[in-house]
Amino acid sequence: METYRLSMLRPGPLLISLGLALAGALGPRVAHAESAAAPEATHTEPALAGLTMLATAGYGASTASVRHMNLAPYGATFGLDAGFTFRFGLHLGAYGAFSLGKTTEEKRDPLIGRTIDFEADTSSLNAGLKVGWDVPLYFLVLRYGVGFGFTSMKWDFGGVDPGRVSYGDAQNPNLGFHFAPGAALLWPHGKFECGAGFDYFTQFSGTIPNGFVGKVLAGVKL
Amino acid sequence: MSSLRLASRALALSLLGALPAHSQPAPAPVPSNPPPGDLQSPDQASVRNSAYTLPRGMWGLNLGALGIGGGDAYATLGVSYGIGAGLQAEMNLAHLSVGLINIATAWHFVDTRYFDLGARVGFSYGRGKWVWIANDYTQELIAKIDVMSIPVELTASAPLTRWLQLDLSVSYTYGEVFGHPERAETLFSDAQLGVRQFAVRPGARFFVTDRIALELSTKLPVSTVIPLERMDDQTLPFKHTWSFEGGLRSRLAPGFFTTLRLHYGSEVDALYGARLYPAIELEYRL
Repeated sequence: METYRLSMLRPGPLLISLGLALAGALGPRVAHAESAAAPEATHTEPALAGLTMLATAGYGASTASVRHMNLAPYGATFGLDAGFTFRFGLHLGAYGAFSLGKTTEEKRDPLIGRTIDFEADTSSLNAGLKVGWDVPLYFLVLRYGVGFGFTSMKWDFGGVDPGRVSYGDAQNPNLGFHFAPGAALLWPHGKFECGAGFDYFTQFSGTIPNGFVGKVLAGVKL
Repeated sequence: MSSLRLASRALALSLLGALPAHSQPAPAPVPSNPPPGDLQSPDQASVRNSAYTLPRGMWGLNLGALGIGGGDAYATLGVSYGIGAGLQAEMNLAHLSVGLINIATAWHFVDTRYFDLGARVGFSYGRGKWVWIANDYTQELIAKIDVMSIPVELTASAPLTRWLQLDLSVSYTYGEVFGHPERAETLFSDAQLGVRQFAVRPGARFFVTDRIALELSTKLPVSTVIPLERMDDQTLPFKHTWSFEGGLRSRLAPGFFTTLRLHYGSEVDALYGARLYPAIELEYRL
């Protein structure tokens, strides 16, 4: 019983003294470790600098009607984004994407003459230069971007005279400039990079509809 | 007894080990570049739809495109300055350059840890003849019209945690349309120019990291009336006046910020021909 009591008591001061000794020995190191922790945490953020080449795939929708028609030149979209990011975050690049578009049912009811029912088949090509900025977001990268470029929209109204549906002044393909703000959340993993994002194509031409394109990206970072 | 001796020896050793550290404290490292703080810091907090203003002596330069609302519609080239005592003055030079006077002042007058209150008063005046940027058709519409707008706003901001801030604004805009709008009345009603409007704007900001914030808010007008000379005032229904905006605000570099927003609403449709539209803004504070 006495032995038992001793065995119960002995570890007490031993543990206390051991704890104190460890605290004395490790204390300063812990303090140093804590002070080093902040810069160490920043190392977990991905390095921004590098050349990226990303394939893109997505889907886009028009956000406005044009000349009373709901043209849909975006739809399924495939393309390429390439660019270089400087160490401080500035990103300069170029992009190009082809959108298959969609056929829409249109109806025109003129004041004089018969109602015109027709199908409008449109598709588009978007390309341009991009200025952006990469911001670390934990292990991800948030990329803001603004694209300046052109849109070339092909259209086909079947046998309908475009002049009768107020589209006679547009060439085919219809070419116009666009301004495209957007953002993407990217995951760089070694030389591989992937993510998801969007671009909003604001069109300068009144005959090409604005469009919102959501996309996924995947490719290499060198 | 022996265990007690052992314990005392260990204690003495540990104290000896600890003594030099206490008697010769290492000098605190002086960081050459102090950490830049976060987006809730007074010098980095967003002043858009919040109670906050620029700190005393700080300049803010804004460059924006495709904005919504009287202060930043179409384009922003804004200059703002923190006067001190929570006061701020601002002007949109982009609007001035096309013939629209657009100035505002804000006052952050309640500043506590979890609750802030601010007020904002603006003044904008557009004389149709001065708006040289308008196309011929619009110029013809607005040539005989002047529009004045005085928005008064009270905003409460509550930074509840390091990652969440709630905002609530109550605003009244006094508008006046001078002249004979004729066909231009639809332009004013659609774009909500010169309206008398009472509205609330609840909002929330999520601080994802120290340099990225997600900002959401919605404008909920309680009443919107367009005053027209020699005609009955026109009341706009809620479904044509409410709007929503969601944005990402980031610190790109010390003092350098960007915000990318998506706006949704009828007001957006009137300005840009689409109910959903983006806006982008760069801000430099010095």
